[in-house]
Amino acid sequence: MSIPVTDRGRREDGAPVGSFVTLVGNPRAGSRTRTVAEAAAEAVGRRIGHDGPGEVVDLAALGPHLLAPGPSAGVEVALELVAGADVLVVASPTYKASYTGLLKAFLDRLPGGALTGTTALPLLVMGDPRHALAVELHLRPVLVELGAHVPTPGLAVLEAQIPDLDEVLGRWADRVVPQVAGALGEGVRA
Amino acid sequence: MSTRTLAVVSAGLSVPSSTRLLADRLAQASAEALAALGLEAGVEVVELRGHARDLADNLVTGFPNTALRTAVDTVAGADALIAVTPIFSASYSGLFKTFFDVLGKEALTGKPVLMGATAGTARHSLALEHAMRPLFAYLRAVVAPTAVFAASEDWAGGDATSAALSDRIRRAAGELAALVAQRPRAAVADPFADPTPFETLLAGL
Repeated sequence: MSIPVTDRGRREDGAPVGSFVTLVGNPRAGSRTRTVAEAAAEAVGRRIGHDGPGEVVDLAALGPHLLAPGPSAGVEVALELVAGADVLVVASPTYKASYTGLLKAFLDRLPGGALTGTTALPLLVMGDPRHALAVELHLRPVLVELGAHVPTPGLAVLEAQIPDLDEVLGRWADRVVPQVAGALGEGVRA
Repeated sequence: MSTRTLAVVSAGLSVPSSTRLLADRLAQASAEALAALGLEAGVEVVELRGHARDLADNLVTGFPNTALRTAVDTVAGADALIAVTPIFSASYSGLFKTFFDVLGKEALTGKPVLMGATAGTARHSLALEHAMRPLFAYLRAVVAPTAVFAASEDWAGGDATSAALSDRIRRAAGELAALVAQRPRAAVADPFADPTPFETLLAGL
């Protein structure tokens, strides 16, 4: 299914709607979380006619600056990108049956309501299907609290599913894309 | 008097922090409750703020440096844990979660835990139940039924607390002490008890 966002998919200045940002909360560089998250963003972007890959904020590069107190230029840039996103994929591996502390440390630096006007898509990568509900129980409420519009369902990707990623992402994207497109349309009218 | 060790983990960010203040109140009340049961309490505090960099390193290297190792051993070797976090965006803080992310999967198995949290508003009290309790359930800790949430309005000035909060601290501490009293002392890890055989050391050269 593809929903072309034509007239509604343009801002008043004619620019394509939607800055797409992918936030990756895995402490290790080159993670599978990042691979899955970028593919998820692309699956959604393609269906709403968004051009280009979008930005990726990979927290692996920011770890030491995130946990320690005090300002960091790299973190500031990342926070601005994330808070300014129209569509934000928020992805994490599953540690101790929830999102990582690293992802949360980043989100903790956003001011209250920072994701108002952002459509956030929660995504957890996990080894064990018994943790699938963590997406809805743990990650979703944090994004809601930050003010984001959070379409249903969130996405739990099992490591064993990664070889068939396109199929898994396709099923999920077909369900969330109408909600994403609707939110983008409202944003243009507002 | 037999002694029990209480490890206190505080994820407060400022100095002083209401999180640390609550942690201290919980530790003090727990020590009193243990004393009432004829047990002496030794309190060891781990301030996570001081381990931020160590935790970031651990995430990448996969093992704790010496300073963090001490903190992890303190928690793993204690008879009970008092864990207190500020609530941000309706959940535990990222610093708090990171410490438990790097903690070994078995470190808290069977260990009595008292949970506490602080926030500006009482609206987020249930973060203790929907976010923090499942974390300790995953780690198979034995968590006291009463968790203690302190909102800004619970601090009556200085470190005085509202009557409701004081009651809750006392109840939670009593529950923790009862859990500690009914289980044997935590085994103290003895690095010389199980030495690596010399042959193994040589083989690794």
